Amino acid sequence: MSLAFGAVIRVLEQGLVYAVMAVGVYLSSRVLDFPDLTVDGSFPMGAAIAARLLTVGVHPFAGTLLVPVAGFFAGAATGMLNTKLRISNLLAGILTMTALYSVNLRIMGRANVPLLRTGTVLTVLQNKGIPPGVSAFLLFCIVVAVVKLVIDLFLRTEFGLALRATGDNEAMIRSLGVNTDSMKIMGIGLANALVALSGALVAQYQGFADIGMGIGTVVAGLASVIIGEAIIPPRSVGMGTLGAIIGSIIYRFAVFLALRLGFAPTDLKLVTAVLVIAALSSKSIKQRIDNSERRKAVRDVGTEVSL
Amino acid sequence: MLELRSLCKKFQTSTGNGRMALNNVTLSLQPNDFVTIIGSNGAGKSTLLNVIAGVFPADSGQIVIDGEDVTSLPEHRRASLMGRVFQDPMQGTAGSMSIEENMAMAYKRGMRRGLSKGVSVKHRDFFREKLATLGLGLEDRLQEPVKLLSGGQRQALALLMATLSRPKLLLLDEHTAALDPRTAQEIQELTNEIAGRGNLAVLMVTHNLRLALSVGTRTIMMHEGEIVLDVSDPERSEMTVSDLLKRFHDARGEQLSDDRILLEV
Repeated sequence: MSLAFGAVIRVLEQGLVYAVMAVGVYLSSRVLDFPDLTVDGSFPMGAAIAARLLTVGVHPFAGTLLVPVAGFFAGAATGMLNTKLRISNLLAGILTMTALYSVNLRIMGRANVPLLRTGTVLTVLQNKGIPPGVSAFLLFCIVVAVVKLVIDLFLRTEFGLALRATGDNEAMIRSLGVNTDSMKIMGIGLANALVALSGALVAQYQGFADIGMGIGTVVAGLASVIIGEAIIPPRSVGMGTLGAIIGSIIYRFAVFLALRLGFAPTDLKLVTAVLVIAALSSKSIKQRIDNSERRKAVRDVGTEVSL
Repeated sequence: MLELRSLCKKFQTSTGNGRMALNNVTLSLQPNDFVTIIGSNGAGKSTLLNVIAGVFPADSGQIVIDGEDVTSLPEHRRASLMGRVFQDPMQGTAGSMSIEENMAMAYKRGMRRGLSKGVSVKHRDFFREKLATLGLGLEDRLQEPVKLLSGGQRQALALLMATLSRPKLLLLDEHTAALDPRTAQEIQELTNEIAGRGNLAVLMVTHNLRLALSVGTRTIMMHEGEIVLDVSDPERSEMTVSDLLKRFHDARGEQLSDDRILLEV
């Protein structure tokens, strides 16, 4: 019983720490309507920077708080490639992501940096007397709550309204005097600041930073956003971010179940991809079924009339 | 108020030969002019509005609005000078955002947008008051997303938003063409009322010749990128649609035979 409870807490912790990334993906994919693949590079970048800073002895909290700044610039780079150099949004993200792979290796110096002997945000809390069993859960709860609150408030500011309108109706908000290029650069920057922060926390949580840990991040983030939307219809900004957070937690439970069902950890990317495909295609498949039923109904009526 | 001097704009066509969408267009508007613009498809009416708004730059020529040369300014830097309503009601509002949020964005037209609250309590009262003038009951639906509104309601909101911050110039690009006849008439009446408040120059593109003569103070006709006809009241108020077509014939030495422009006579 206590073992199961422990497992549930562990999954919740994962859901929460990745929820910070999911809120970032929500910002780019839903608020800005920008399919941003930078995420697969900015997530491990956050981990890499945190690992490097922590191993050279920077205070874990100071180091972790520096990470979003770097994440912002990674996202802003993608935004600039897209708006200033007119490179398509998907390709712009892929280019930044690819470049970040080398950058991340430079930052870390090697492919894997263990953090077991350095202090992390979690050991700082544990040294303050918070039991190891709840420190991660507590910290991630607070981080997610703060992120949600700040992003919700931000999206309701004058600037936030302009950002949302850029994703909703670009021509209209430009005619109201907003430089939509700057909006995209800032918005993608902000999204990747969150993604990098999530990466920094994950590295400290799992005890290492790895060059390959970003693979599939954007798909996991999208899966969280989609699951969240299915459960909580995003009628307002607050519902949207809440959906991403709940979606992230459910997604991690799904992963946990897949592992329990006997899938190897290496199969998880495939499982995730299938999950996302299923979620994305459910609408079009449902439509097709509805249409064929309608055709059938029309055909039946036609037969009756001809009789 | 608005000075257009020798504007030219050429578009590349698939055949490789460019097409002159604007050919040496010169036009001067007084502060209270309400100009209706007519012309067949491809005459350059929408291009004219797009060039004035800065959606794309003119190849040559000069645009001066309210004493300010805006020729080289990008679209978003001209926004404080003009409001615009498009043909498609979806285009003038952000559907996923609430009525009050749309109003708040229009209220800040051309201004710096900071981190203060997007919709304040003070704004809300002002928006409610403005929306009440539409008589559509939108003042009681401030927090509803705009996508729930009908096309006519959305267009009325777009028109209100275009003029909320009292710009000097209003550009209307067939803004009633996509609406049903009754709603179109209501939106047109609202337009006339807003124009009648003064201190606003209006450029209204329409395909409806009768409407073009019945509203506003001046009518211009475009053909192949040029202004071929420019009549103002009181001369204009005496004119009928057939006079208009005759004047076109006299000016160009050819019959105006575009189906669309004749169909809607």
